[in-house]
Amino acid sequence: MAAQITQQLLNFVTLGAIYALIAVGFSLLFGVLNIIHFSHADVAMTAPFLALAIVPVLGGAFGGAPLPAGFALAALLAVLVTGALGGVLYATIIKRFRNAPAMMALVATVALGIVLRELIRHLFPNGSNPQAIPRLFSGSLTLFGTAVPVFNLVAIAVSVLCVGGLFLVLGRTRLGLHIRAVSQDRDAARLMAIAPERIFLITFFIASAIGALGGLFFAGYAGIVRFDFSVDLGLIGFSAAVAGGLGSMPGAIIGSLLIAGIDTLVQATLPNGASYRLVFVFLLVIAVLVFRPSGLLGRTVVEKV
Amino acid sequence: MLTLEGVDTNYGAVAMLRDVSFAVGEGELVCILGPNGAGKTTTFRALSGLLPLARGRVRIMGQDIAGLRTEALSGLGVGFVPEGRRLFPDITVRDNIRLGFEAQRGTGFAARLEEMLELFPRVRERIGQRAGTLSGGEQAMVALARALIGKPRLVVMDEPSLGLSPKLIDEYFDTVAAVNRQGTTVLLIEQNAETALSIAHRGVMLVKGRVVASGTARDLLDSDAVRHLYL
Repeated sequence: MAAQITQQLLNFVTLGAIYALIAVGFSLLFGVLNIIHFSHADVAMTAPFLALAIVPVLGGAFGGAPLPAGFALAALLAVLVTGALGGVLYATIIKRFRNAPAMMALVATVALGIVLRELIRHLFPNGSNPQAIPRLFSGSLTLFGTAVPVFNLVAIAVSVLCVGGLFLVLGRTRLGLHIRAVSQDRDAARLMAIAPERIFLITFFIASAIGALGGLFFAGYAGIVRFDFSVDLGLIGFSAAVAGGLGSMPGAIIGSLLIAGIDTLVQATLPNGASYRLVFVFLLVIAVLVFRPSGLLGRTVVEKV
Repeated sequence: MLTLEGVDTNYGAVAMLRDVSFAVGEGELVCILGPNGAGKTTTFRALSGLLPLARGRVRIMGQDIAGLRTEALSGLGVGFVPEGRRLFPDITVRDNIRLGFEAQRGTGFAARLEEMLELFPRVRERIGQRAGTLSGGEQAMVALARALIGKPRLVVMDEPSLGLSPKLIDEYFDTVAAVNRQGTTVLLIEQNAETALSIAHRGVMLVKGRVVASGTARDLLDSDAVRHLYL
């Protein structure tokens, strides 16, 4: 029993860590650009496909690198490429909706997400079928009498490092100061010699690269990836950010843990719980929004005059 | 130092400018006056590049700003005090002031900050607080410190006295006059005509987006146009 509880706790923290990698991006982009980037998870989920596509290229370059090591390197490259993809999508498409009514940006980013999913489906060989993800960090450690997969530990550690690193960058560096200035008052930032376009581009890169790690761990945790995994991941990541308070980084983390908690609890306790997990997850999101419309840590939205 | 030549703006239904021309020379303190809706803040937005010109030309330090972006202007040695102070509310007072310092490419932040804190002693005890938690008067001081810390050659202020108590307004304008006497050129956009003209060398009066009067502060104080509208 104790071992089972430890096991479920581990699942909960792992899922929460993976969701947080997506949710902080939603919150960061909303906080800085004031738009909801509904294709954020679709950008993030290109990372596992990119990694799978890069592996053979690397294999060719190094005369056939062994799979796990080759995949690890490919995954790192995929994170950078996905970050750049986020920047390119901003500069070519999303930028045009920055000052448009919120509804237009919403429809445009939803559409962009569909475009990305369908492109993966048609351009990736066998794109409609699930693709196996090589198991990185196999093996397990014994902690507190329970076998703990190394994969989970790595996912948690990477998430903590990335999200913690993001907090440090935002709170302690000159770049972070500029990002916060632009998010709080774009025109005043321009008067202080900060170019918002540059900040938006950097923010998209950061959010997309962190999201890419979330996408890679999400796929790695399942062991497979399919072109439409981003739909669930996007809804979960977005809901986590909204439940925590859109625009608040700590809120995104708390929202992710909350959703992962319900997810794990339902799967562990209800018969056939895995089928009902999303029902309970989204009922919880609705409940949070009924009682705290601006999210757990969100501020009351003041209408701008 | 700053010239507007025949500036028109289109700004939807809000106040727009029509053929606005004036110049601010080195060392001057010039004020732009006008009632609500005269186009004072539109003038600020036009000369800072935040609002595109429909016609005309703005030169700062001899450079046509049409080829520059707003974010390049403070690097020319211009400090801005926008309407409503526009401090970054969730950023500390120190970092707000630092942003102004870096914008003007100043050197020796610690020493300059100390000079600003001597000028505005009440800011010192607030230095680590988020700017949004300060009172209106304190925010006005911080906004002025943020504009002055990089030793700008020109400071442009938009309605800096709005919301201040009469006593603070006097203090504030004394400070602005002192800054000007030490060599900084000042463009003061201000609704409060009598106080502004009491420290300005010259004034420009806007009504409905057009210049209706301009001249020395003395002349404007005596002119019928200004007296009629204001005093």
